[in-house]
Amino acid sequence: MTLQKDRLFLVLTALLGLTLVSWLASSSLGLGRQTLGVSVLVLAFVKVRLIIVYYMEASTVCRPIRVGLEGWVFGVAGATIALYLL
Amino acid sequence: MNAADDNLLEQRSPVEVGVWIFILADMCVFAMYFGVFAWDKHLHPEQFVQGQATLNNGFGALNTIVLLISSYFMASAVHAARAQKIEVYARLIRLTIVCGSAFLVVKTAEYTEKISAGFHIASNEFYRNYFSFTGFHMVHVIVGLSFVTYLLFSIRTSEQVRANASFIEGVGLYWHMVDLLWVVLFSLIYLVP
Amino acid sequence: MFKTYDRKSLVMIAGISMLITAVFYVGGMFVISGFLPPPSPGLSETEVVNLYRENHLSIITGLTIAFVGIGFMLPLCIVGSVFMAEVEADDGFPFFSVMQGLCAVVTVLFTAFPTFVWMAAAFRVERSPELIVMMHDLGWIMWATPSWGFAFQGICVGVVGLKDRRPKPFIPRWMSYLALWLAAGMTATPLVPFFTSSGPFAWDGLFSFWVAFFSPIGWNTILFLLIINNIRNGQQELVEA
Repeated sequence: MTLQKDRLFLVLTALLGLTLVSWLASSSLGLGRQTLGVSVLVLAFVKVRLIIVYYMEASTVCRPIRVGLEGWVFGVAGATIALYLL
Repeated sequence: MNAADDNLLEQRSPVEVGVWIFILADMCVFAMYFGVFAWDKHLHPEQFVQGQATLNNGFGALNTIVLLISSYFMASAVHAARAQKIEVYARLIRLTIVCGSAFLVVKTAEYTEKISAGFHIASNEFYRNYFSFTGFHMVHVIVGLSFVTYLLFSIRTSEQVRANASFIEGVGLYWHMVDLLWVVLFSLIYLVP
Repeated sequence: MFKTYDRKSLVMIAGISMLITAVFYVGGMFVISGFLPPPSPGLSETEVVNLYRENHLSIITGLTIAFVGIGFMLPLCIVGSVFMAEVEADDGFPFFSVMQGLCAVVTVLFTAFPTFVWMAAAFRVERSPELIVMMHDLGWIMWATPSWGFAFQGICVGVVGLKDRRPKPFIPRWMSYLALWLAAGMTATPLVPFFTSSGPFAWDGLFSFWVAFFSPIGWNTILFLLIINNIRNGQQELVEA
């Protein structure tokens, strides 16, 4: 139980950290426009996957749903980044 | 029971498959929102740059933080409910509601600011997407918050928690979905240049 | 407790009505009148008037067939209410079943009214173009915007489906969740009157038309397949989980 709770808190720290990184990157880092855009989107979908895996506990789900969730994350991430890079 | 059945039991989620199908279907609608936003951004780049510059990143970031924390509380509440720690569960549910309400307060302040600055849903493509997509997301927050509030008031004793275990899990899932959709919306609307 | 009639005939009524609605509405709206997929709200006055002048006869024919077809949604939805009422029988007044039936009437009316408005626009095509455009807009706003009748139907079916704790519920539980999702998918339609040109929320848009129109059709198609499967297996229930 405590292990579980520690892990949940660790994930929260990671999520907040990633939010901070993408916020700082977009406001102060001197990255190129497209590089910055793609990295912010990639970070967002990393966060999404963290939430799905650790908070929604996707590992306990039956296989088709798990495939659907992973497909959503990678498919939507790919499609959004592709549309952004057009 | 043979080994295959064992395996099946381990893999099975305590939540009904239907809840997952609902959540996946809802996520697919939002995937279309993301696609429409990115496509419109491609068609009207200047309008989107100008529109994004008028947004207040502070509001967006604050809401992201608030929602991420609320998701943590919700996940912990579900774990507490599984462990039958009713006191902890009730406290975490209350914290979730506080965070969710904070999100709505910030959102209202943000909308008020935008509307009093003269922007509205039909101003241009950027504002159409901004108001409609964040608005639909806000409706999801309100629905989720209603379910969490229902948990607080109607599922409070350990018998009720045990009898409604899968309902609690389902509400938790819905709340996490609301959270993860906002994570993408925040990055896409506020941050991506 | 409602003791229903012969279930088999009810299931047949539902299946046949569903088929007639689909064939007549799709035939009338998509094939003959060409009103679906909807014309863009961004069409100019001349374009709208030409649409009616050039397709005068096919528009009136198609719309007539479509509104006849829409009427067959009523038996279908009321059969749904009959099966729902059995679930609710122990709770006293079958609120959700009655609500679903009444909302079906609303859905049917708001789908049928616009066809008459467009028919009126096509009725005297030589009249002032402004009036034709006005009728055209009125019809489309009326067709695309009101979604609560249908959304409430979805909610009622979903709620009763989830309340159904029998070993063989009247629809599979995942269909109930999908019904609730259908209701949620309708939330975009009230935005229709804001957009006069185009875009995803205009009346021919991705969310107002393609999602809001085809997701219920998808759900009903699944239901139809389940019913067919059931009739073939000689089941007495509407569908088997």
